Amino acid sequence: MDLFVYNIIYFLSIVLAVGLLFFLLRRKSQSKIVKELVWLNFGAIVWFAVDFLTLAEKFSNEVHIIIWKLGFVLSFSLVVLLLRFIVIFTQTNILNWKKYTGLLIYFVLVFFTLFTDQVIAGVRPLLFAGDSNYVIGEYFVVMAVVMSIALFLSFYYILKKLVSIQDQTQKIKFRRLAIALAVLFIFVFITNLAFPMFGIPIPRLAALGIIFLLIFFTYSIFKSDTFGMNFRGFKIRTKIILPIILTAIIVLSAASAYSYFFTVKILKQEAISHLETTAQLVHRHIENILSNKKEKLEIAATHSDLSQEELQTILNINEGFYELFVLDSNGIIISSSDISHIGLDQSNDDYFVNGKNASYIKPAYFSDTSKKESIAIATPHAGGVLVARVGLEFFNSIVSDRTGLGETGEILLAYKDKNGDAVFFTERKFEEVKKEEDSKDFQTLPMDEALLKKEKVFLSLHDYRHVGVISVTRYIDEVEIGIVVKIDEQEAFAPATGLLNFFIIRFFIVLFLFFIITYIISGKISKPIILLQKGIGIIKKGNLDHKVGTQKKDEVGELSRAFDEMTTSIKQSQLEVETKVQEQTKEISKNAQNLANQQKAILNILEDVEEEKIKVSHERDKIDAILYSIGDAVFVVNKNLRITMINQIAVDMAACSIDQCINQSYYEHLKFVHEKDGKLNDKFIKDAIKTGEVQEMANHTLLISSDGKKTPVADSAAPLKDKDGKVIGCVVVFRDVTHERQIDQAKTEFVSLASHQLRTPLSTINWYAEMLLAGDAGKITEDQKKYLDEIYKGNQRMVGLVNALLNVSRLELGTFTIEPEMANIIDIAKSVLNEQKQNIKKKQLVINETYDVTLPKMSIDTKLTRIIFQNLISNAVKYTPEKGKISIKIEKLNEDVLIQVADTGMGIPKLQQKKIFEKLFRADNVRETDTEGTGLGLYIIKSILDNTGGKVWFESVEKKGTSFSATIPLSGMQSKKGTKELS
Amino acid sequence: MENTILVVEDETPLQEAIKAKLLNSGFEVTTARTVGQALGVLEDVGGISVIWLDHYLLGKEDGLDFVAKLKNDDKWKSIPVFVVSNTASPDKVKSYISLGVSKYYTKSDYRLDQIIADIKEFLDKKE
Repeated sequence: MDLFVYNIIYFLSIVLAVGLLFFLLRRKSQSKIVKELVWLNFGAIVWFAVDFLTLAEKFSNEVHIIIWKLGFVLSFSLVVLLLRFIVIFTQTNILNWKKYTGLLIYFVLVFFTLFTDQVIAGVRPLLFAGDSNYVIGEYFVVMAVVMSIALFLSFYYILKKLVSIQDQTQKIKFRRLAIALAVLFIFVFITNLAFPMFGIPIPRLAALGIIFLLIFFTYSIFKSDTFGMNFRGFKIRTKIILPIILTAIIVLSAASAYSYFFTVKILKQEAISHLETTAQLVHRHIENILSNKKEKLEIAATHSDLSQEELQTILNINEGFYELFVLDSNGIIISSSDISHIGLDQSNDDYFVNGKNASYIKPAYFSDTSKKESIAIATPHAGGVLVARVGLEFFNSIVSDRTGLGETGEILLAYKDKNGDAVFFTERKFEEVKKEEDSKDFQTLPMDEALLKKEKVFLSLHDYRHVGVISVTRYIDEVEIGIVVKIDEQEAFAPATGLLNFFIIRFFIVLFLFFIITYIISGKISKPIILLQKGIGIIKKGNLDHKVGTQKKDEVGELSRAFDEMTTSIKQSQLEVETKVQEQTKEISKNAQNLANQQKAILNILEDVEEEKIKVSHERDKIDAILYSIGDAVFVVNKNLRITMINQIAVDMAACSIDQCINQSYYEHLKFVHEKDGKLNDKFIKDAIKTGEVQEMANHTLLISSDGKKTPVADSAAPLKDKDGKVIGCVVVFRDVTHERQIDQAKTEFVSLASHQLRTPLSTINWYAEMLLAGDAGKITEDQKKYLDEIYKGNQRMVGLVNALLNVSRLELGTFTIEPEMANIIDIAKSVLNEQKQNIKKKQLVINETYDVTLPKMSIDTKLTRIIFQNLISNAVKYTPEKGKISIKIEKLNEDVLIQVADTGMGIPKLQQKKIFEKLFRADNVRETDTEGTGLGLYIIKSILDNTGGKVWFESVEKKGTSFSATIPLSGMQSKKGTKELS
Repeated sequence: MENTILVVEDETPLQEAIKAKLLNSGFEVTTARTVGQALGVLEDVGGISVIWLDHYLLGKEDGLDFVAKLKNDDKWKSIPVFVVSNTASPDKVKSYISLGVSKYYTKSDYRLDQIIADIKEFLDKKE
């Protein structure tokens, strides 16, 4: 990875950590954990900054190692701090030092890391991102092992806790911790400790690990509502300063960056064009020298005979030539300025081969003959060739002119030797730095590019000193020489660096000025507001005389003045309110006086009313007249049970006269007795007087008249009350019910008759069908059996229907008996369930029974109770599909016993639920699927319970099921005499 | 030994059905439609081990009268009586039970074989 990418990563980490720090600090509640996170974060920022600056090569090596160690300690402080949150300190328990064991380990490690070279031996130069950035010491392994054990233990405990814990929120918390530790383990431990231990050179990944850790922290803090609305608000002053400063920063940075980059661009262009010009000049200069030398040699070649003296003379007048020699037609040196070379055979040399016919320049080479870097120029001469060698050091004069190239600029000339290496033949300004064997990342030298015949501008190539340069390359084809004109980047851009420093200083100065100005301005704005705020505080405490008193003419000033005015008006209205209260108090006391007067007036009126009373007594005669004309028998008794009023019908029934009865005890003439035993039955009259409530006459009461005639009567006694609600007597109303009795009797007999007459033919069909089916009349075929079955079943249904109808008519006639006896309700339920056993088995229904076995025996009519269970359970069985579930529950509910039968059957359609207890009603869904029901079962249940103090209700969802609930009072059912039992 | 049962039932079709079923179940059967006939059978035929009795009978007297007479006679007092009737007023049922009949059935609610099985079981126990 590129260093640049690392810089970006570090930069982002710092931004992230700073952001996080901001949020943490702005939290309203600074809990312990938040405080720890703040420190943790601060540590992380320092560490990132150290690495960031180190990568940017801002530190010397000594400073670097110290800072780096600090960073390292910080990094595992981070780990230990995190462990503090977790269990390691509470789990490790050496010498009962529960809390301090971990800290002890930590401090030992910190000490060794910071103050010795045992853990970290050194830090490597950070040339390349892939390099391991520290050299591990002798005890590094120990530290890594201790750290990893601590980490592993924490991880283990957390995982254990995570698996065993039940509470959901706790589980989430521990899951988060486990992830944190895993991240820590993988990225911090492996990258920072394990890799260096085994010499794997990718520790820089630690930075990535920290980023993951930070992301996790962010997530974790986010989850614990750090970013919620739970922040302290900014003060007005901050609100004013912050956007202005932020805007200033953005604008200034943009402007400075633009100026800087623009300047750099211009500087670069300038440097390049200058280098190009120089290169062009050098190129031309060399070409000129070469053509000039060639011309000189051609002139010399016109001499017919060139002796050694003559060659020496030519040599002396031509600067640059260091040897001249003549080759004959066979390529043998016949004459030379250097006598020792005479007789050498040069027939294979390029200058002989190419120079025989025309002038020729041999490109730069190392002359073996004269042991010198040279160029050779050859020209035809007297059948042979005249050759001049030019020493390449001749070109030093060209490159030594470095005018306009500044401190570091220079011109380089070189040619390629037989091995392809560049041979620099002019003087160089600096010492060459040898290439390092292992450094393959070095950029290609500009000269290598030039010798590849490239004529270009190169930015950022390293030269022979490994320094970044801007370079221009040229190539002279004729002599195969490469030209490089270059200047150090640093020098070329020096004005820009200066400019940058200027920009930065300017940036801070302007920012500072901005800050000062906005601070003062914002103070001017916020000060009156703060004053106002303080004023409000004072006024709120009750001092309405306080004035904010701002003289400013802006909005805040107006607000202050308005506020002052408001305070004044509040004070004024307070005074007004006080006055009003006083006034109203006066008014109230006046009203009280009025009221007393009114009371007196009312008393006077009451006296008048008393007088009116007398008048009212006359009205009584009218009432008497009404009373006498009422169809029912009526008499009124006073508290002493003496008759004060009686009508004609009553005296007729009693067979006496009105005069006889008035002021007599009523029982003298009106004897109410029980029909059965003839005992006196006038309790209802006495009860009415005693309780002050209307009392019904008991059933089957007879009135025995003075002449011994018995008349069945019915009705009630109502108390007579005075204006204070005190009972002063009782009105008794009764009527002759002889006729009603007769009708009842007839009805009862009809039911009885119907029950017999209807059942007899049914029994006949029943039994004959039974016998035919049983084969008593001989064997029958399958079809016959089938048809007989239908007859039998149909008849059974008829029987059921008749039974139900009879029950209904008895219930309606009120002729049914309630005969309570002490019985266990659960036993009844079980017995009914047992009757249904076959149907249940056939349909594979699951029965769920829940009984409260502590229920006492109750005084209930077992037959009626049985009917209730029969209907509830048979309905459930009938309307629940195969393999369904029926739950039967009997338990105490307040003062009642609750019976609940719930099924998973077809349910009752919502719209028809209201009608379900009506007589003969059947819901649509059951009518469609089952034809056997009578529509009477639930009606019977409800009638029974209505008559016995119970209740029935249900909940039902169509296609899901129905739950019927019924209650019977724990006190039991009241006995009732009737002519029929239900069957 | 086969048990002889006296069936006192006024409705002929029912009587025949009862008779047929009882014969099939291995009883000797004699029948009567009135209290008088029934008493006559007891007197003349003898050897009656069990009585099947309906409440409403032909003639003025009903089943209750018959049972009352039976229980007053030492000869017949111990003969078990099964009342099978459609008239189920509680007073009557109580009267029958208090007179000491073995069991009371509502005709239409029971199958013949159920009643016969009960009678057989009762007799088996007695023996």
